Amino acid sequence: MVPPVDNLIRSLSRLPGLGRRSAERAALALLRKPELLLDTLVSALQEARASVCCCSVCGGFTSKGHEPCGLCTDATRDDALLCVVEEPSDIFSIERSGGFNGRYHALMGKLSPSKQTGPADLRLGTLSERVARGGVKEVLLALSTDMEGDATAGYIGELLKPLGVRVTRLAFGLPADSGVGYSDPLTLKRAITGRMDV
Amino acid sequence: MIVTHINLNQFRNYKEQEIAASPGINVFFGDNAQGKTNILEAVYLCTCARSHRTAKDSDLILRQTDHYAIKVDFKSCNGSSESVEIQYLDAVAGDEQRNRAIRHIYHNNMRLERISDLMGLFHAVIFAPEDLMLVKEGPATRRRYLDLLISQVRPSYFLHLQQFARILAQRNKLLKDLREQGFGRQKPLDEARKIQLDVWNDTLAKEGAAIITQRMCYSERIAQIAMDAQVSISSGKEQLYVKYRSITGLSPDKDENEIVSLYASKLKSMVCEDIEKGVTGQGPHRDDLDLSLDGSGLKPFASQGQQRSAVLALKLAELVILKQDTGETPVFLLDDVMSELDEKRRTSLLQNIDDAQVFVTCTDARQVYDEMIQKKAGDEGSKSERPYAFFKVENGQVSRQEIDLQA
Repeated sequence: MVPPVDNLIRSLSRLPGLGRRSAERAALALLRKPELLLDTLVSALQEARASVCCCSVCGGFTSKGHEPCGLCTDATRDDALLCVVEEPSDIFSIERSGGFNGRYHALMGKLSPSKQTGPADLRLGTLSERVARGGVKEVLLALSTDMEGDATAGYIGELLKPLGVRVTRLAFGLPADSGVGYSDPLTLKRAITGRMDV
Repeated sequence: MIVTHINLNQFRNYKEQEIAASPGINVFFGDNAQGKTNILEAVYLCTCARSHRTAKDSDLILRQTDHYAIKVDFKSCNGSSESVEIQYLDAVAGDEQRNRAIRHIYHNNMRLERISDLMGLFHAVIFAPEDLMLVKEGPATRRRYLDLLISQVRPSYFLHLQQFARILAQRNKLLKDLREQGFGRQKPLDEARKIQLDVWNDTLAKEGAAIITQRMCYSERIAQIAMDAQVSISSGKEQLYVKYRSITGLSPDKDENEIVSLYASKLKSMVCEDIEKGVTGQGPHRDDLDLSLDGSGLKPFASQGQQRSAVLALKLAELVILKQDTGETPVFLLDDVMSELDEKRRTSLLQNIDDAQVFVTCTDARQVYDEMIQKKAGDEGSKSERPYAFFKVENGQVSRQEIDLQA
């Protein structure tokens, strides 16, 4: 393959969710329609590179000049409720659910010694500061349900204990609109442990 | 469970082989090193995707090729036809798509997402010369014996094992990092690092306790059954004791929550030691199944014969538990037992076969016929024999043979 084309495919295949084959398809589509696809992508990438940054308060995505971000400045949101997530993208997911109207705090990862991620690599210092400043009554941990998520939750629990704030975690349960028969054993076991009164 | 077909593709010394099995006794005979055991190995692989002989999948591939595939078609006791298929593609250097080994497992031609989904679909017990390692080798072989058995009857157990191994790796990595930073007995952990290690202690204790609880429960059942079996094998002369040995302070009356706190406090008390060693010193990954005969250790004191009897008793316990917990009769795989076991032990084993399907390897087809097919028919006082089939195995080729042994 011609080096520039190969280079394009390689760069695309480094993106999550794209294997070699789909990167190839994407690259060829871009090259087939340069005006329609390639140019718009180039300018979108350039704009993103130039203006997107992470909000200094919550860690979520925002654009330069809009700091703190819209979610942090929105006066209608509840300051007493703080939701802790791993990645900025998790904020989108929780916003989409429509079930939360507090503030956010993205950690930028989770504890994992094998990936060299310790407490100092996460935005934990700013989390303590936010809570210590007062006003937050409850910290909701929306972390993944794997062991790194468990460990991170345990750590934050200990970290915030002296501040006397309520720390909660998302429930472990069955996916909405699904039957018991479709659940894997581990999900089901956790759902049984976390059962609640009708 | 009755195996109807076995398909081997580039597996061990087989290029391409299909075997149509008899629902009764299948005898594979031939000279040494022709590939008899490989057939049993393939069937056993379909229970847990683990070989009884090797931990490396790449050992199972036909030389000069880069993948193997095996498939077993079987009927379960409720009559449904099912199949389990395992495909393994070795890593190929220089090929971007295959820079890692890939294993695909299919049940009824549907791809399973996880190995844990395979557990409990197909059951077989193997009696092989390698079983003797249960007594002769270190604790790892006995943990493996327990783990494979419990995983088959309690699939969630396998998930706990996987999870435990991952958490253990994380904790060990953290211990090594702390060691490199100079912590240990001389330099105690500061508060932040203490909390950091504590969260891993707690998650490890939770998973560890789930494993310990199950292992204790099954060890007790194994102890019961194996003791009875040993009495009958040794004509009441010997008592075999089996006991799960784990963290100190453990007793059978403790429930899972009590074990969690016991293990967590154990981990906490050993933090300095663990940091200095850079590994976790106690837990299910270090436990053992203690075996003793009439009160003295089996490995140092028992004779070869006594060791063989004890191993047979353990394997029979595996068989009984599989039967009790799944309601299915597992397929019997007997690798060279006719020459490995003496007559008395053979009789104990054969008594347990009942109407199970058997795959047996041997060098002397005549002996198997006399002891397993004819004798069995005689025992029941009827002329009817169990169905059987003889297969000659020669240099990676299996061919069915109609031989008249009644003469």
